[in-house]
Amino acid sequence: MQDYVLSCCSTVDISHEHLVARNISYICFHFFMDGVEYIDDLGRSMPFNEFYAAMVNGADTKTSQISVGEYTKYFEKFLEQGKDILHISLSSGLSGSIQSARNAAKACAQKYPERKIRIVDSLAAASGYGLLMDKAADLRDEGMGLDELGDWVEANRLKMHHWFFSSDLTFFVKGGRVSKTAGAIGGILGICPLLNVDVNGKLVPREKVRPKKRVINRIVEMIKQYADDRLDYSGKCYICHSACPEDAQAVADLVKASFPKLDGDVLINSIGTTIGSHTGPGTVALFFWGDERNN
Amino acid sequence: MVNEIKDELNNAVQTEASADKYIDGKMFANMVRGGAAQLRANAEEVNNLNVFPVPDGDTGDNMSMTIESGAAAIAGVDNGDLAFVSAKFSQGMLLGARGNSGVILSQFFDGISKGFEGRTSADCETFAAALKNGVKQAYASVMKPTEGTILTVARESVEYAASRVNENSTFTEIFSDLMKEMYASLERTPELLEQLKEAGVVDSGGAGLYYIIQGCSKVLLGEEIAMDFELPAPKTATIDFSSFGPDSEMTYGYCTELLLQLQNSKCDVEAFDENIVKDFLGTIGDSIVAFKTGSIIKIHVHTKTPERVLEFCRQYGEFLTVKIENMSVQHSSLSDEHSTKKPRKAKDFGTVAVASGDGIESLFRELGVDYVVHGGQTQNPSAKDFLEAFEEVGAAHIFVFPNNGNIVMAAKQAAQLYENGEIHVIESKDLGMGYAAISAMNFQSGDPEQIEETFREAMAMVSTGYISPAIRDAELDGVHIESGDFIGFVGKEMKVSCKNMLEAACELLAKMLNEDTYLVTAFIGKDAADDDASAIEEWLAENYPDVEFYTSDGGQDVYPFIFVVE
Repeated sequence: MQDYVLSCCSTVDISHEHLVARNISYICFHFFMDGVEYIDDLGRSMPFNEFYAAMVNGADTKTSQISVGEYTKYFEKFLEQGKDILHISLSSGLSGSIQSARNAAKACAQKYPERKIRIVDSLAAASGYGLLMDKAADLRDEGMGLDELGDWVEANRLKMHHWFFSSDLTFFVKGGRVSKTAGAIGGILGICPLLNVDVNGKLVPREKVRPKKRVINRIVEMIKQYADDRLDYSGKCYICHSACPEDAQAVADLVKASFPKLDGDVLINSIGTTIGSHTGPGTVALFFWGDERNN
Repeated sequence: MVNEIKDELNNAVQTEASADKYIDGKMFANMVRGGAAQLRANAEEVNNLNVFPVPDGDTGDNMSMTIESGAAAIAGVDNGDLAFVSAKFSQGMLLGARGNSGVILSQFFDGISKGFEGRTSADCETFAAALKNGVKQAYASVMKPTEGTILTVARESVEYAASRVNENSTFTEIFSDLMKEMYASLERTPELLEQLKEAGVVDSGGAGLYYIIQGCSKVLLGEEIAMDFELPAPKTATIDFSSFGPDSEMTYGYCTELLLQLQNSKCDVEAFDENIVKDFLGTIGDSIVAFKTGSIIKIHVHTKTPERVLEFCRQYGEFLTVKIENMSVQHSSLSDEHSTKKPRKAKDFGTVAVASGDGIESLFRELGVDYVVHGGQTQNPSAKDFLEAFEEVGAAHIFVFPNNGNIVMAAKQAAQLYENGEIHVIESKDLGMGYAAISAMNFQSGDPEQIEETFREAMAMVSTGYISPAIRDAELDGVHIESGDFIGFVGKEMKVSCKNMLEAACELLAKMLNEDTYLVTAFIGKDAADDDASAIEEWLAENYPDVEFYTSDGGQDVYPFIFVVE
């Protein structure tokens, strides 16, 4: 058993229980709803349904990054206990929070010169980031050391495939994650943009599919197209969604029917409040291991 | 040299007899003006030669506007040089071409004009050769020439007339032969095209050409013809003056458009650099277009100080036309175009789509179309309209969606005339194809070929059905139609005819839908009620529960419903 701390941000979009069970520590983002600050703690303070219902009703949501001070405090808690830290951060393509983590790590390194803190960019988000962490926990448990695991994540993070569709891109555009000029406003007439996370960890609209039933087929086709061993894919598959459990279930059912060798059940989680502030309701995302992302 | 001598001789002894042996630029100009006038006088009749009993036939208008645009190009031209006049005329036609028959007509005349190259006048043999060249070019302009159309009428009549030309021929004889065979050929078109026969009409494009040649012939024979036809007034936009009152603030400025005739008395016309105007405009406004064709500069600018544009430009010439519109005032034909416009920025990819109906036009903009050319089945845009759209979009690659089979050729003609970027005409032949392609728009790959492929794939499996009131009795594709019925058709195929609109809509859908259908999108026209759409939705839910149904307020004329079935 390795004694370093494996750490991530609350934007992994898997459950608190799951993280605790896998012995993964996490630091929480914050969000503001109508000017009130909440902690993004995997739905424990504010249930996801409540959060998305408020968004639909026009609540103004805003996310806020984790500050250097918060990171420092979070890291010091482990350093004081004499533990090293491998912190895998939310994609630098979506958030500048990794910079705060790096600055905090630098400060901590001076204060605890004998300890090791390594910050790794996941280039991943949501449950894809979660699936990457889950794999990292496996490798740690198999005996991989801190640096070895850090190297492994850097070498393999682009094999994590993120595919999203949304029946409404309003919030993507509002949050600045998708450009308005991409002409990608969905929602009307059943047009569902299909996006993925690119080589730089950014969200990119790839196709537009009508109507929703077809985009569900299309997103599952992405596993056939990119996953390790294609139809014989035997890795794990995660799904997350923002307040559209039926769509998520429809994708999960199709995945299970299409890939009989899958490792375990398809895990369905809710998109958390940080990522959800940008996606709004109506998004389903699918994650699996496959060919290295190259664009 | 021989020609020159001939010409001189011709000019020197311009007798009645020799006048009929040669035509020069002046005669040519008068003849084509006569042709334009004669066609305009009969345009409505040509419009009505419509296969479908739907009030959307406009071949007569399209051809009229095409030839009138040629006539406008030689308005006031007082030049005897046949090559010069005919080239100017055909240039005007190429730009003004509307509808497939308009494009073919413009290509026919362009071919003729090329046959006159280097000649100040033509004898009968030269003229016959030029006509043949016109036919050749007209055929070449069409990917798959269809017989029984304007092409056949032009070819057969030219072949006949040319075969009878010898050194003693006169123009009177040529035109008499042309007219005689053209009429006969026109009468034969229903034998070549089943659709014409079934509808009991002759080909409309061929009929248009017949009237043009008839007009030319009348001029030649000195017959009376109303020469002072007027160019059709541009469709006037309805203007809502209430949008700019005593306390309104001038926010958007004026959309200012000018045609500036450069004047030798004011500048060196030939050497004048349009950039002088462009640079000045840049200091007082945006959305700038200034390009010089010959001695004329076309200018477009959005500015708060239009008076400075006028003052500046008059240093170099005089105005042919001036249009200044307050952009805060809502002009229905321009509306969103201007009020939402951002400063021009050259970009990699742009799009131009043709649409008519407020709802459809704004939907297209929302889906990312940069420039919507107003038009459709009843109002085919000209090649020039497309050129203006291309100029306005100004992207390196522009994808064009004609969205009507009769507009594809004008778009392609414009694509050939455009020089500041690469035009990709996506051959969307109806609204459904265009909508499917546009809603799949994605430039992410950055690869024009891949983008084109995405558009083509998206529209491959779409079929579009139209509902329209019938304006006369007919029997088409085995469907019995009575005037006042509602008919439903897909492409060129008549499917249903019913007394009731809703019934027609459901019956048409029943014929269009199959087990693979997963999506129906309905564009609701001006003449349909919301109730109708809900009734269709209920009918679909009951009979095709797996099919998703979306509606959009299209606001189109003529068709209460357009169904896009996928």
